[in-house]
Amino acid sequence: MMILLALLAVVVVVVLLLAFTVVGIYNGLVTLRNRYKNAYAQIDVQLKRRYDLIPNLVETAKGYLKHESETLVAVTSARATAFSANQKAAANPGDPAAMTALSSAESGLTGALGRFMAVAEAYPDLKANQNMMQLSEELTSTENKVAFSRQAYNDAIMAFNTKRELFPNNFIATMFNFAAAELFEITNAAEKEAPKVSFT
Amino acid sequence: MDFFTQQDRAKSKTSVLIVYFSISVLLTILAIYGATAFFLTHFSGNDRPSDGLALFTDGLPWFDLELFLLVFGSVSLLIAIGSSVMMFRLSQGGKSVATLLGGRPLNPSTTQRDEIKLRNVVEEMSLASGLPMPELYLLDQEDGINAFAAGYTSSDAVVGVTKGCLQTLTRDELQGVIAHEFSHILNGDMRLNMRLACLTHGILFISETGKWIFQAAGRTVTSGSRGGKKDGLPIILVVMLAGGILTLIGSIGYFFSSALKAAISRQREFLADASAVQFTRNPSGISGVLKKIGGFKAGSALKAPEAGQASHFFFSQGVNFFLGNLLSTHPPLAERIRAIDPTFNYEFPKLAATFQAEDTADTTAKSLSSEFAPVSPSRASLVKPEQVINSVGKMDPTQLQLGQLLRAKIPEALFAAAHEPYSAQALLFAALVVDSEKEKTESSILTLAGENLSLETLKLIPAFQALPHSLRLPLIDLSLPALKLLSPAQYQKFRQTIQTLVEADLSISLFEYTLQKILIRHLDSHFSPARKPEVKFSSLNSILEPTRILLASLAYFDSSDPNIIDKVFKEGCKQLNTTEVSHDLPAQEACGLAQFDQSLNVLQYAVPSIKKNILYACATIVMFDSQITEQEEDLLRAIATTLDCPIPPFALRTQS
Repeated sequence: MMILLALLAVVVVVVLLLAFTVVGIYNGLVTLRNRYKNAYAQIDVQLKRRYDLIPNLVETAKGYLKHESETLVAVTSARATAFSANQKAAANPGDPAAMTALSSAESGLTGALGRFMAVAEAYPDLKANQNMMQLSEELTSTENKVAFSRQAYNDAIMAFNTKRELFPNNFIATMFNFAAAELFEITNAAEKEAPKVSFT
Repeated sequence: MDFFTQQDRAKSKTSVLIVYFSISVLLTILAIYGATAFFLTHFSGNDRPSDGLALFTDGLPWFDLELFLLVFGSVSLLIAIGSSVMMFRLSQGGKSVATLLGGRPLNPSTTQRDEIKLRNVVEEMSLASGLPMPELYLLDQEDGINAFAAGYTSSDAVVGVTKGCLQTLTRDELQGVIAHEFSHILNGDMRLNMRLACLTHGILFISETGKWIFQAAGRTVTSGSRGGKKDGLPIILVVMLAGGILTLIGSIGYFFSSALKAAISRQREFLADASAVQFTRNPSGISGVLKKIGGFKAGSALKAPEAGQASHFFFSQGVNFFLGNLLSTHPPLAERIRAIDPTFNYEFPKLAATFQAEDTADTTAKSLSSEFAPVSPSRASLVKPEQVINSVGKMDPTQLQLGQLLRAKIPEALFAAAHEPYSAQALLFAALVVDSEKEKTESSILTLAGENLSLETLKLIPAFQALPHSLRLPLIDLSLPALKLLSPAQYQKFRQTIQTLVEADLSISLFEYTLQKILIRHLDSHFSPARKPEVKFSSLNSILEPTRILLASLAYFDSSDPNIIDKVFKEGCKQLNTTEVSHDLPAQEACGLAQFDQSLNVLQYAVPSIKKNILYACATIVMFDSQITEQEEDLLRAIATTLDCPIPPFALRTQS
């Protein structure tokens, strides 16, 4: 009887240890997932700030750029695309489809803004406009913040994906549906730079 | 009762708790032992016939040492495993509790009106108390009105509020709730709560294991009978029964430990309510919340499955138990209201299920500005050491109002920077270089931090320069939550840059030293597992040498006249209230910043009552000339931060 009891105790301890490992891995994955979701919240704040600035920018430039309406329309529509892409991404950060869509929409917006700034260079009056100077300054600063929080987000995604793929974590990840999360990258190397503006 | 006594009390409460807890563990073990003995006599056939008969026929005490030790060992093992599981889950400090409950960290640069209001209320209180800004969490799934504070030290403290709390409460009421939670932090309650959570989980674990054995055996029975094998059935039934009994006994143990937890918690709640009223001198705030909870459909109930185990962290009863009063972690609402507002007639105003507080705009803080005179850079103010000691970990309405004024005094640009991780870094760089030469600064920041960040820094420098010196460190305290949003890699780089900037001019100023101390203390612990408070020294005698070095360094800092240094040092030593300490002044070489730092790092492991003596001696030396300069205030702040004794910005207080 004693031997049976001891055997039972050994089995219980082994199973418990196993259960703890599983719980530990599961909790670790949840923590890392929360971390990248929170990191996205920071990007979201800055992106929204950027989307708020752009209409003001376009509004200010409108009076000066009468013959460049194409550029302005391009900026406005790129903003709208990026805006809705961000809404989808914010609802489900890390979701591959949403993140890819956001990456390309943001690349498009950055490109359109770059062209807009290049065009604006040719209009000295616009360049000298106080409002315009302030807005583009704020835009650059926001772009920097976006880039920085994007880096933090990507770091968090990398940590999560690595943990998820390691053995034996991969079994638990599959068992509880921890899908691989997608990085947020601005793909086009030329457009990766924040639009440089010099209104001096 | 002052801060240090409260802290000591919370500690001795823990010891009492452990005694009670051990008793309930012992009773549980005895119960399990009894059950095992019963089993062995009835199901083990002829193994121990005489013993078994002795127990159940003659009613004589039956004791088998071997069996007892076996049961004792395995039950202790189970409890230890259960407790360490919880300890492991809570190893990240306060934020682990918040995550457990499904909390979402509030983004410091939020644009939501409700969230801004909450952030502002907490920031004011943090400025007023000198406690570093806790991380804020929102429980989005919870409609009830509730809040919690959790953590081991002030570095990892978090304050969480429910969605219901944010939506239903006015600014005054929110202030009452936050004051209540701050008093939990300051009274050392949250540390006690963390331990309670670990211990009760240990006992809960017994019944969980029993349940698990029961279910596993049950599954074997069903699958076995389907397969038609009946051989092992009796033994499995026995195992099942054993599991069931283990569950039952474990549950009884859990019941008692929960009752214990609840009894301790209830006491602390009255204290926290009273402190909240004392902080805000606005009884209507907190009683308003309690009345709203009473009249609100969702009340203060919580939905999170883990809420039961964390119920004692909350502002108000979050989980209702089957046996009402005994397991309630909070006193009844009406009783709590009566303690604050004796005219209460037990009638709760009815609130609609989707009640929305009218006053959502955050105007209070701004309307107070402009009465507060800015401080000239090198002005010293009169403070007595007693004032400093008595103000540690305390708050009162004047101070709270001062917190609001201070908050209103900080320019919007600096605030915005403090709330956002990218520019918060720039803010700290600006703080370090603001007083050094301009060209050198620009080039060193540029090489260290890169072009964009250095531009951001240069933008902040003028605003920072205009900021009164005594507001600089409080502002840095406010930027901690934003800096906690950096990724580990980003933080490493940031820390490196700070270190280089501090050491750049080959001499470390006091401000630089203090700033670095604050960062290391509050951020390093965030990026690695939370540092649990350790107490290594309960008597001053074992730490006489570091104490002497600390006091002597302060004396050397205070004056350059050897006679005064000696006098001041002796005066400080007197305040230690011990005859053991040698009043001979150590040589100046032995009292550099490095030695000062070393001593301080040792002294942080002392018990609160000793910290009080040490802090008092420090204050005596610093204020020997009955003045406190801004540098001296920085220094005291560095000491207080390391010793984990929050001191309010008192120099400003005497001027307002």
